[in-house]
Amino acid sequence: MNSSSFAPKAPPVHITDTSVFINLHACGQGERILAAVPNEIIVARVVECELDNETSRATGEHAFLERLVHSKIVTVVDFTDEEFELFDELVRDLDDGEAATIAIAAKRHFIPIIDERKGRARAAMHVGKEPLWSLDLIRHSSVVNTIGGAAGIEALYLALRIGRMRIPFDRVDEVIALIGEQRARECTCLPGYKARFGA
Amino acid sequence: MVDLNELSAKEIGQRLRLAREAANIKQDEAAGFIKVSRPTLISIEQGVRRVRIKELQILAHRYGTSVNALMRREAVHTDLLPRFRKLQETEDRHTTEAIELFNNLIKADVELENVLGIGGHRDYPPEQGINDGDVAKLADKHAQGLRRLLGLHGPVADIFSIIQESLNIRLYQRKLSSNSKVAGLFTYDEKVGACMFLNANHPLQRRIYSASHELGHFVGTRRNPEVLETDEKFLSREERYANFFGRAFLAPADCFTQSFLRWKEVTVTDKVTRRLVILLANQYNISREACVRRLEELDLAPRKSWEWFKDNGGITDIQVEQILGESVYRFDAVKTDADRPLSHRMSLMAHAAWKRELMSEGQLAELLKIGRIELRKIIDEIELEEETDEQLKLRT
Repeated sequence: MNSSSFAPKAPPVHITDTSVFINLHACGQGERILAAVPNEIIVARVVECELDNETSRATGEHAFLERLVHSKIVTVVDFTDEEFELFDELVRDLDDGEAATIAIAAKRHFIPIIDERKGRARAAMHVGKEPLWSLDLIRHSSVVNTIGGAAGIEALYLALRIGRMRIPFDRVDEVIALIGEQRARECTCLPGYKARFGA
Repeated sequence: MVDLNELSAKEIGQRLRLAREAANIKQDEAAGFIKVSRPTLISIEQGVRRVRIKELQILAHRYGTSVNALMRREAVHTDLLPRFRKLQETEDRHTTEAIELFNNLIKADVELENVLGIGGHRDYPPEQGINDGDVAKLADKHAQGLRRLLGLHGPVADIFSIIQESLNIRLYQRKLSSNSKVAGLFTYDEKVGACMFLNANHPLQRRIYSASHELGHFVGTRRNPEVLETDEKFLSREERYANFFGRAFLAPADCFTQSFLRWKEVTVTDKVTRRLVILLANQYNISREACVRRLEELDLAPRKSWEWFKDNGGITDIQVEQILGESVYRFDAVKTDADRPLSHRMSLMAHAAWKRELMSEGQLAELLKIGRIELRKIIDEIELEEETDEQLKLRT
């Protein structure tokens, strides 16, 4: 038995899709949230390229990712040959960011964070388990402990109202309980909004 | 096993060439990006050598597109940008802005139609050609021929609907920079059909005239792309033809003359008055200038009448308002539609493609050239309207 067997197991590495950065940027606490997560946060070079366009530069999303990389909160990785092959297969019907995130997650056994339905289904198929949501990052216990309950709830509310973050239907009650019904009414992106609150 | 959805090396090569040309990048430069020789790049673009995924990713990024956009079966790749660029003697910011927007709208429209399995009905009247004879007479003949085909009598009530619904021409009306001189664009491509763009910053009557002018290009010389500017001099045969066509289609000699005479017979003076011009222009949905010019052309008003009006205080908006009252402020639905990040039609197509999981948020945002949050807002708005009473369900 070698000594490494006794070392504490590192938390699994997370690899994030483009939309995660958009949500985190919108919530106003993105940098603090990612810094508080104990897991290493990886991003595919392709995702970085995806945010390198006129629109993302104008919204500040590109600069947000640059800051995260510069302060070493997020690490950008390139494909291996094997990952390139899987990317080639996936990119025919997924956008570049999703395809890259899934390809790297599948080959390196990272946990992908993807909110888009189609991307999540493909990720589950290739990675072998359900990907995480942006919501999981924002509500991570370490994040709540570090930035504080009130700030965490504010970040969640802004990600929903400003970023129109996608969340799973079965967690709507939990989210509304956190941000309160009054503020939930302002978040028209919530699944089943009309049935719950009317037009 | 052969994947039938897989694009051939030739198809990818062609798409790469079109993307490179659209990005205005030379072959040498592109070859340098992927560290191959120019002949190798040419063989990739010709489909002789299949591009490698690593190379494809680098090229896509350098060309300002994505690998997915190059690989999607339904994606539309045309040479519109380089074709329009050839028209420009010098690089002009406003023209470039207009043709890029036009190109993006066409690509998005056609791909969304392809993805959703809609559209595709195209049965255009034949191109007439303008090589022989007097352009004014030709334009008049062709304009009347088209009016007959469309069953039009008298003033044209809604030229935009005629263009879109009766002729199946793709029509986009969006806003360009406030000081842009571009009034309209027209192009025809085998893959996408006939397409027209109008600057939605311009007032309704100006857009009606621009649309009629572009219709002239569609009827007479549809193979050549065209840019119409507000101060255009109409020097070429094609432009003079389209200019005559525009007026003859909106204000055909016989019924325009008849309308003029009907106003004239109830006017005491034997002069062409401001009131008469305002009433006639309003009846035919044309500008005051276009109306006077048409009267001159048909010898119903003395030559240089418009210049006379201009030198003598013009025909002002206040005078128009005094005569027509509030009806002068017609509701212009296009203006409000053009204020949206996407037109209503494009928004609905994007929502449908997303809802049916045919395209992802990232793919749509890239195709439509809008931010993801903006796209989410559009999708959410439509989603909120979706839950309707069962009784309102369409019978299919």
